[in-house]
Amino acid sequence: MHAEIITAAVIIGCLLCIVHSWLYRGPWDTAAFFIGGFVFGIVRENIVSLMPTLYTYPNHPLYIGSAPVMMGFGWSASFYACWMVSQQLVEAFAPSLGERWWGIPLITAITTAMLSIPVEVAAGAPETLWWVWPPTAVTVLWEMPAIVPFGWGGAAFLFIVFFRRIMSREGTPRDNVVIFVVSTLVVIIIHLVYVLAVRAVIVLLTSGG
Amino acid sequence: MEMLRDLLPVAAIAVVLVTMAMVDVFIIGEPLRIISTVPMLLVLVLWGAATIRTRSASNAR
Repeated sequence: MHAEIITAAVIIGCLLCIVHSWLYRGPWDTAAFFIGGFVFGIVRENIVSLMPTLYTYPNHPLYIGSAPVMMGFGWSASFYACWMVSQQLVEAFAPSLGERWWGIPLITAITTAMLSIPVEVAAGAPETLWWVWPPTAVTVLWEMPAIVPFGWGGAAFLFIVFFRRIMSREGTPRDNVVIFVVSTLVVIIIHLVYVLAVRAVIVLLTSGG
Repeated sequence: MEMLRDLLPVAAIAVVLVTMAMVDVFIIGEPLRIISTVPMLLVLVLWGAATIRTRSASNAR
């Protein structure tokens, strides 16, 4: 219910990020990040819809397959906004961390995990049901499953690591965009394996051993 | 322009936070759910401090 609200918020947020990226990172980085993010979101959510242990998306206004169109914008907007905020945090408080390949992606992962909490708390309520987890999900804050911050954070980490690595390689910008967009399919596979592993750990810990 | 650079991604996050808070209050009807925005708000406060610190350092140079 009311899925237009999250759709509008996500698309507005994504447009702000695209404008920022276009102004300060240029057209190639922008194309790679947001086309890659769109592919990541739509393909990933279509795969997720086939997995009974994860969630489904009822009541959305527009779909591509089983994925709401807004998921093509939501993941990339979250990753980009949190990446920019994290870059500023690292630059100001821990510049040496920024020199390590995992430093900024790690802080981006933590920031993205923080952003996941209010979204999931609103999304899972009976009055909204923007996405629905199975009853077996271990919840920690209203209807929010424990896996959520780990899932969002892990996705952000992988996406930013792949993006920075591929876009800084030698080669034409156009080639790098294509390689990155295709590589998001690899990111999806790694991320889903990671999510299932984290889920298994949570189930193990909460079942008392 | 530099201000714009810093603010656009934060504005994107703010749009989401405000929207979720309004959903908590007006659609779900549970204002207490707003506490879920606190961790991200703390990140944004840190970001504000980081921005001031970075600007001060570059002005000093």
